[in-house]
Amino acid sequence: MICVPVSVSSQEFLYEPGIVSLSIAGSALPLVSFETEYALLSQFMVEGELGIHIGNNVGGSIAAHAGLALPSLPARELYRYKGFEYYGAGIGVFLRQYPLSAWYFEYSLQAFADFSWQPETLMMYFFISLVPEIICTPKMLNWETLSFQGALRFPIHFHENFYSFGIGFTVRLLITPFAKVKLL
Amino acid sequence: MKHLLAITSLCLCLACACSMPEIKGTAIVLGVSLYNITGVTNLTYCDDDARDIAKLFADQGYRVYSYTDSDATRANLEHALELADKTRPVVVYYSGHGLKLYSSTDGVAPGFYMLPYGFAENPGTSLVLHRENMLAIKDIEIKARELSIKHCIVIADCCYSGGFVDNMQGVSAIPGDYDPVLGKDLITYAELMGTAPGRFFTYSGNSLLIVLAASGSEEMSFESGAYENGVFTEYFLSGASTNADSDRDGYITTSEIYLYVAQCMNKYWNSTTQSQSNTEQIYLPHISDNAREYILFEANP
Repeated sequence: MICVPVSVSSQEFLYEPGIVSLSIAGSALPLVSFETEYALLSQFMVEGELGIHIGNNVGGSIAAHAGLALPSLPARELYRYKGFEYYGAGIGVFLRQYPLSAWYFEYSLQAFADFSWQPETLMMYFFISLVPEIICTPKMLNWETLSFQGALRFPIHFHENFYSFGIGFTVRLLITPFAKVKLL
Repeated sequence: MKHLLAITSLCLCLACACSMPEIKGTAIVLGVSLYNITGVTNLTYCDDDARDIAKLFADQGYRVYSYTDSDATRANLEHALELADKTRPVVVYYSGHGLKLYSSTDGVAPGFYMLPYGFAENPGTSLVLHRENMLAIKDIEIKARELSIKHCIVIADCCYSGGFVDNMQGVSAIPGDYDPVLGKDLITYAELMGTAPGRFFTYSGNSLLIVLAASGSEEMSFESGAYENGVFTEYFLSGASTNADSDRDGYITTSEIYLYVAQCMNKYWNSTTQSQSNTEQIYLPHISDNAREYILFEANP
């Protein structure tokens, strides 16, 4: 069981997040992409994610996400990497750390199996993505069963012959239905 | 006075240099209507296709090498590839007969071929194929690699041209023998999802070429008297105007023009042939599955 002191009205409380939590997240992902033997070009993605997390300070996650990748900026030789929609499901692990400060931190690593659909070429691809993430919860945005979090994620997408990596900025709503707060 | 003249000349030269349109790349265009071989049916509009496509690319600032009928040979194509600017996109357009060879014939391996002028001769009773004058997609890729061409787009308006599209990474929703009347409709999402992971785990290699093909690997490609062009080429030409710029960014990419042509062929050509019960004339274009797409045209040059 995790016991986290929460400051509310200058009194100290214990915060117990409970063993199950749900998350809803939205991300903006500036990436760089490249195909073997071709140029590194910047590309932008947006993504939404739903997750179920089981465990207290260490645990596992199941998540589903969907996103949209815009075409990359063009190269000097008049080519660019195609845009696509994608849908996927994944699993992951997380570690929660509750230091006695104004911020709580969580570290997670997720692996997704994704299907991308290119509406302009009517073609589907499979790819794998790895998503390491650092999640931060300001104490002031942490209530008994709800908290707003910010995260930095570092996605790496492995297509057959095409790779993307970069930094994502995520806003996440964490719902902790079994959380408890006790007065110290 | 001499100085004034020199400065004026320099300014004129600079002005000319600045106003010259940038060469976007090289377009090599081949169209064969007249084969002059006994037993080979001549076509009607392939030379017109070549002339119209050559004009389109020239208007868009490409350096164009255009060959029709007896000049549209593999040797001329390879010579033009040697002359192309290797640092810019090179477009190869072909309109003519296509061949799907089921078994080895005259020493020619089974596969899919473009048939430029001189691909065969008829010394008496039957055709004799000349492999060195025929063109498989691999021949273009090998030549491009040999010449260090990294940006090569092949557009083929011929029968069975889907055979040139070797999709090894992704899965196309359009089957090689599209015919909704006979139940060979677009492949469903569920079926695509069943196939795509297998491609991911077995794929190896790197596709240099981007290929736009008029038809599937099991389909013929058609000309139209009403259009005075090949059907695919007609919609390609029409898409090169603003019509195909689906994201309205002022540029038409290989993907955008492909989708435009596919939609037009289905909406106008296929629906008409279906209503006339010519279901064997129903077909759709195909595109290779590269991660790259090329900006082919400016929507408003």
